[in-house]
Amino acid sequence: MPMLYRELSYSDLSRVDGASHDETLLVARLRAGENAAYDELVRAHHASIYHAAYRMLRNAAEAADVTQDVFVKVFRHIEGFRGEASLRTWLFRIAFSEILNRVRWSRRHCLHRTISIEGEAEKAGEGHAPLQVPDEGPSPEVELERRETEEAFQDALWKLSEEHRSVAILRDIQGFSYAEIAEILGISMGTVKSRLARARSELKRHLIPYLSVQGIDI
Amino acid sequence: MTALGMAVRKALGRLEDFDCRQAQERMSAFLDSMTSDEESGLLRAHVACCLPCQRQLQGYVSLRRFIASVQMPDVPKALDLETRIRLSHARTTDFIGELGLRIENMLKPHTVPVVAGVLATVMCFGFLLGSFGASMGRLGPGDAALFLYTQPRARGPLISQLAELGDLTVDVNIDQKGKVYAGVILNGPQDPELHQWLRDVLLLGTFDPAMVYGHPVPSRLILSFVGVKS
Repeated sequence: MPMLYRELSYSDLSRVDGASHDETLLVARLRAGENAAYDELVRAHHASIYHAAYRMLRNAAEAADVTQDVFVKVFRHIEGFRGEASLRTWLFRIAFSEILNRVRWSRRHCLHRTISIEGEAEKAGEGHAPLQVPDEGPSPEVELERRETEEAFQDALWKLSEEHRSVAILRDIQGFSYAEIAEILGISMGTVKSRLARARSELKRHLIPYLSVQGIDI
Repeated sequence: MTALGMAVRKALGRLEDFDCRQAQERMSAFLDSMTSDEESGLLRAHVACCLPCQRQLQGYVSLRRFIASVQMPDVPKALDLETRIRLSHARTTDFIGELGLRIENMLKPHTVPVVAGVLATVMCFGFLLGSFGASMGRLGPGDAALFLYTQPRARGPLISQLAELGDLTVDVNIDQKGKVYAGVILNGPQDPELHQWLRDVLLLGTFDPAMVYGHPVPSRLILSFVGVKS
């Protein structure tokens, strides 16, 4: 089936005032339905959206599904992007709306999962047993330590409420500013500040046992 | 008291009021440089003389360092490609595409019956036309011509009279009443008398005119006699 394209016009370029020139051009190309622009967008943002979704949902398959849904929603709603925030902020706003819907749905339906980190790693595309590390990669001990650290952090994150987990992920992992987090989650800056303080305090409390064993003073 | 002295006294008062609880509430924002200058100054001053708060702040710094050291989970290798494929599917199933797909899906079940119907119709017409063609040969002299076109035919003894002349080829034009109104001898005897006789025979002779849908029309006829012996 032949694809329909719309030609770019100067009005497309002037519609997103707040963004950089490159981003403005990318948004205009997305609006025009250019294949290469969508490929560029997916390549640039799919990993960070997947990471955020995985940290929030703790499930590789669901995180991958959310990532794909986000880009489909971008395609459907790109005309609604006004450029008041950056494209990345807008993408994460869509992503967190989707993620929080799934978290709430799971909570309502009382879904409890038993997560195996080995299983998740295999799903994530490693394709080999957890300790079968290639020769050129890290040693089994280093790999094991990495997995333990990852597991401890994910466990601590998982003990936070979704509101606190969201702000912790957006600030400490994704590096968004308070104003951007407020925009993504649709809350005030003051709420971001208080939720982040609470989230970090809780994380610290949950990580004390693990970090004490590691000899890190926390 | 001087203005400076009052300011110092006021600042000391605020520092005294700034307790551990207030300090710990602001530590997270302080690490992100999201506290005001005044709050940052008070926090620094408090932490400098409060060991538990010093440890708390150090704990936040260690937590930040630890989070930075945690590796990101591996992204599935095919996610990039799968996302682009899914996006491509979503883009091809937009309104026009969806409409086209719906029409295609709606018409698909009728394709075989429609093609069969058209073929059957063509075959039926072929059969009927064949029947008309076959009936042309069976048409009697008095029958009305119902098919498309019938050739003019000579009546009475004209043919046998012409055949007596031996090898002969004549091109005649016949009007709608069956009378010859023009003719040319293309091949035949060279005798001028025979030519005159031939003209008389043709002009006096009568033909069944050519018919189109049962109506007589002017026509042209070539009569050829080769190797005919009486």
